[in-house]
Amino acid sequence: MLTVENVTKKFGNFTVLDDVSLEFENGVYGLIAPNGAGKTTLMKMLATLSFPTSGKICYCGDDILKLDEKYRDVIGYLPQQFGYYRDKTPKQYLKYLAALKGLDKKESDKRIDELLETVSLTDAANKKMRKFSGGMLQRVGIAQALLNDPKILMLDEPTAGLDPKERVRFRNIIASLSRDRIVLLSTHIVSDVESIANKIIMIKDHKILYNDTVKNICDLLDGKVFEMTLNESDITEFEKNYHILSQKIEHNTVTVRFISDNGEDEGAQKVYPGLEDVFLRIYGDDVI
Amino acid sequence: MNIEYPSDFEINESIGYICEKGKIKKHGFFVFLRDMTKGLGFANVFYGIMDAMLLTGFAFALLCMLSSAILEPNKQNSAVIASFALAPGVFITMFLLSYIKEKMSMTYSVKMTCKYTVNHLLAYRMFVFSLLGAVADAAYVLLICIKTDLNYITLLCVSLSSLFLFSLVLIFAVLRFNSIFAPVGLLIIWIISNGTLWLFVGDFYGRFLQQIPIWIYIVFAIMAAAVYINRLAAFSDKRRTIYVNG
Repeated sequence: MLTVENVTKKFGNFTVLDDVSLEFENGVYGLIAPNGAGKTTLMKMLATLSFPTSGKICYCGDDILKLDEKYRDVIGYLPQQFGYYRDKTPKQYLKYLAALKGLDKKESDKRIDELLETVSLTDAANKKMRKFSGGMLQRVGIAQALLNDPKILMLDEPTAGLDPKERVRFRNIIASLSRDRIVLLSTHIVSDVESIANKIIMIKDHKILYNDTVKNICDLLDGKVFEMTLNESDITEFEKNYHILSQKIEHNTVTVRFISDNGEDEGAQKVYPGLEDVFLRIYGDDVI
Repeated sequence: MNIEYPSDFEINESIGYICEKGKIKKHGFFVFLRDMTKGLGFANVFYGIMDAMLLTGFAFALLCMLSSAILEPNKQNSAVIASFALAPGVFITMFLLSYIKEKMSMTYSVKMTCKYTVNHLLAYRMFVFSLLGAVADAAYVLLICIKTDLNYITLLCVSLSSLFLFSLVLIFAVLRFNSIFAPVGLLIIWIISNGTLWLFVGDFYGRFLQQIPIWIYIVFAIMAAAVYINRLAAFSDKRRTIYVNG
């Protein structure tokens, strides 16, 4: 089990995270917050790339900084900006990283072949990465994070730059990997985690705002989210009275999704809230 | 029920055994080098920086040709200063190219989460670069001695003590400051200070370097090398805080 115990992180006088405590067990954790909220900082501390100003992070009861190499043996990390060697093939690159991770050569060759198949890159295994699309590079990134069969897999904004098809493929990969490990996935794209995360962690004002299941978080807005169709000309007036979550324009009408305590009075239809509704409600102007 | 308890001796022996097994052993730098060579392989330690090493070799060859062209038997002071001032050249060029390449590389974060981190790689490389630097210095000093009739052993001691003095200051700078400006700044200071002395008080500077007894150079080089290796071990263990956004 991985625990974050009263961790505060400051850069000079600026506090990025304030007294954060978390517990992780096997499963997928979606870390969602707008850009700049401290997701990457938390991920980097969990990956031992950055250190808490105060508090500590423990794995199975031991401080991860003291565990040092032993902890690095059980983690897999995909950074937000994944670096690679343009002139190398995925196979060459993964072999190099496998060596850096201290894996046995024979075992790593087998493991690399398996992983390339998992991320559907077998056909491109011997092609230079300079020709790869963003999605293919991201899959190489996921493969490298899985090289040592990590107990803790940390993926920082893994779907950034991926097209919708790639994102679906990515979600499927993550879902299949989460059975026997902690998967921590940071993103500001809510739909990436909504269907696969066992728990959602939301950060606001440098603190953990929610750490709960998707259902429990969505229930916070149960009975308060409505949808109705308006004429385009009525939208401006409607916006003054209600917190609009989203709008969908069709011909001359607009279907609005909004929050209200008494939406039914307006003739709107009550809908079950999604995680994105909660996200937009909580972060409001931060996400614009 | 009669339970047979172990004797005090057996208890103490068992506790001692458990403690010994659980204790994290501190290994020396040479054990680190051996383990890393065995575990990672020489090729992987120098992965992606062979171009930097070849470039340095090419620059060194040019320096030798240039020195060979301009050195004359009556320029002994200049020859001694050149042996001292240029001694860290090969070492620092290889180190800087390697260091900047790793620090600026987008692969830095991933490598820092591996068993062998960037710091392990840099510490290993620094040691090898020092050895290559010493070999290059030995060759360069030989060239100088052929051209100027200076004593080879004396000049080699001057050159090696300069190399290890520079290496020592460099490792402290790198340990203290987490920035590529630390080695670059040190190189600039070295060039300016030696260049100024050479230009303005060249005769005095050359004579001064020649007057220092050879045993002082030898003792200094050995001591500097020992502390340098000790600090290299500390550098390989060092985990760095890197600036993060978000």
